[in-house]
Amino acid sequence: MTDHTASRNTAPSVYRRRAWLSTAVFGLAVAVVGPLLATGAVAAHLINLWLIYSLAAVGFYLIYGVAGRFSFCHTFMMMLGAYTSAWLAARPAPTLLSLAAAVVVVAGVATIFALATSRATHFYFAIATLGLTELGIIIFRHWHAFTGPDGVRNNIDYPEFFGVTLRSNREIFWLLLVVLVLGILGVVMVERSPMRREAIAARDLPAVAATAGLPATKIQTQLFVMGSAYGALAGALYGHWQGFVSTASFGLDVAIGIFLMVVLGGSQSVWGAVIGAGFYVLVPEILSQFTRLQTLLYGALLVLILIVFPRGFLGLASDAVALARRAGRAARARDAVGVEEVRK
Amino acid sequence: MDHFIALLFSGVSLGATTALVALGFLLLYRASGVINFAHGDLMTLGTYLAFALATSARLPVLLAYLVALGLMFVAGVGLERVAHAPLRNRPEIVVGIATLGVGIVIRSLLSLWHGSDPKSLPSPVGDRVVRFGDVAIAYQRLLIVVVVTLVLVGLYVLLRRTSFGRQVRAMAADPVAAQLQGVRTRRMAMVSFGLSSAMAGLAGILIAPTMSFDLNYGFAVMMLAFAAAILGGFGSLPGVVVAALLLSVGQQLVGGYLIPNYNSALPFVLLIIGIALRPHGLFTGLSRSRL
Repeated sequence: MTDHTASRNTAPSVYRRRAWLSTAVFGLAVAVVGPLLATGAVAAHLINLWLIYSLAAVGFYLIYGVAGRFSFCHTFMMMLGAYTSAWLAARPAPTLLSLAAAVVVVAGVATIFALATSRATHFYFAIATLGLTELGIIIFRHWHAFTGPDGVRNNIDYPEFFGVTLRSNREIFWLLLVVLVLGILGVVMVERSPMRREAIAARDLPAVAATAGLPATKIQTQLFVMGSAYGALAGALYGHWQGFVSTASFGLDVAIGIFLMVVLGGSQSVWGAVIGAGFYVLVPEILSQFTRLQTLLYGALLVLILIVFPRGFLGLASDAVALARRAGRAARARDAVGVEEVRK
Repeated sequence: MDHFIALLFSGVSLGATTALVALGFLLLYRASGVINFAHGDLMTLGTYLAFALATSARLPVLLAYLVALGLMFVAGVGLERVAHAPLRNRPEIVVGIATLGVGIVIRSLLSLWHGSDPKSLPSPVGDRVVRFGDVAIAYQRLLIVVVVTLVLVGLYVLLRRTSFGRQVRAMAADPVAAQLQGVRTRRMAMVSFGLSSAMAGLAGILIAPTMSFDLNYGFAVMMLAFAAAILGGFGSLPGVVVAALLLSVGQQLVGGYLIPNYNSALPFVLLIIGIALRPHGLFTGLSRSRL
């Protein structure tokens, strides 16, 4: 970079990413394009599913992408959020209260779990989260008072805010979009604060971070709890939207699916999670004749992406842009040389 | 009392199998630093291979199972080539995630091949039972205990008395120093993936005749084995065996007498408590050099 451009951009690089602007553009674009695309019932369903998975994946981005924790219990947090909200809504309680309760309960459980396992290394933590998911499925299947008969809770109320009930896919779309955009704004705030930088230091250079006095455990716990709360909200909204919750909707497959979304999209940016979620929702549609091949494809993709392009779709795109820029510069340099030669 | 003896025997045979699964991935972990999340799916694969060879290919049961074990060794080497070799210079947890992906692939291939209905595997000793008073114990359960004991002795001899075992222990103690001393890490990784995979297959073939199996049963046993490995101190051979036995017998007894619905939750509760209390088990000096 030359001195000229450096003096023009004196703000720290975090502030030059125009995160607020891109979030606003994203929100507006989806608000305009979403209803246009939602022509039929299937399309409207898929768009809503994408928004919900995006919210969950954005939460997982905080845990995996920023804090660097390998967790398989995001699906458990979604499930707990969904059941909590559904249980409260059946009391009956207002939707806002049910959603808030889901977030609070999950944040509490996530805090306890994160503190209990905070000293565990990567493998131990991954195994503990696997165990938590399996444990959750067993408990939810048998605790009928909380989860409904055989862990299936039916007839969850439609979301209702201040007297307005959202019934159709098209109405719920707006709720989901608002929540997702607010969620991304939350992540943007984290990324503009020192938290992201400190979390990455604690993740990549633990010894240096500890020497510098960074409270690694505290940062990772905070990010884990925040990410889990996103998952809770996604799960709870899913329940209110679909009207039912069962353990089958949030198995280990979903845990791996969320992993796939973040890794596939690119775990270095929050937009990777949104893109990955879109891919995850679209693939079954494209392959609808080959539903049996779907999980095979997911598994194979996970391995392939880790090996071939570890930075996901976004990494691929930025590589392509860099390549195009280099090609452009080379072309300009050639032209300049050509001009010189003509002058001679 | 009869009920107790029946529960005890099913607990011991399940525990012996779990120990075999746990030792398989500990062997791999020691030799290559990788935790193989596909280990449970390898166990399922071994069971399905044995099932196909014994029923569709109509081989004699014992021969079919031996061929299946051979194929499992090859499958393990294949796993190493796919999920470990290309990722050798990346963090080990990334390899772990890749093995999880391979596990999903194995499971979905099996579902394409055999569907998801529960199946049962013929036992090499038939359906005969031995009677203790009023309790009937299947020969298969006794066979499990005998075979696992033999494998344990074999593993001990392999690790303590052979050049391969010395190299595995050297890798476990200090991978870099071992490499500098001329341990062929690539070949070691391939052989230990193969051995570990064959052990998973053996565990599957042993336990499957006592229950019905489906696509997910290996994964469930693997979780039990994780719990046993962690509670057993992650690396001490007798510790893991004892933990696996206690865990399985405890699970059977709790399920048989106390809380039938929640007994399957026991290993996961113990697993999480174990990790909370012994978070550094993997890398503590003492347990790292033990094997």
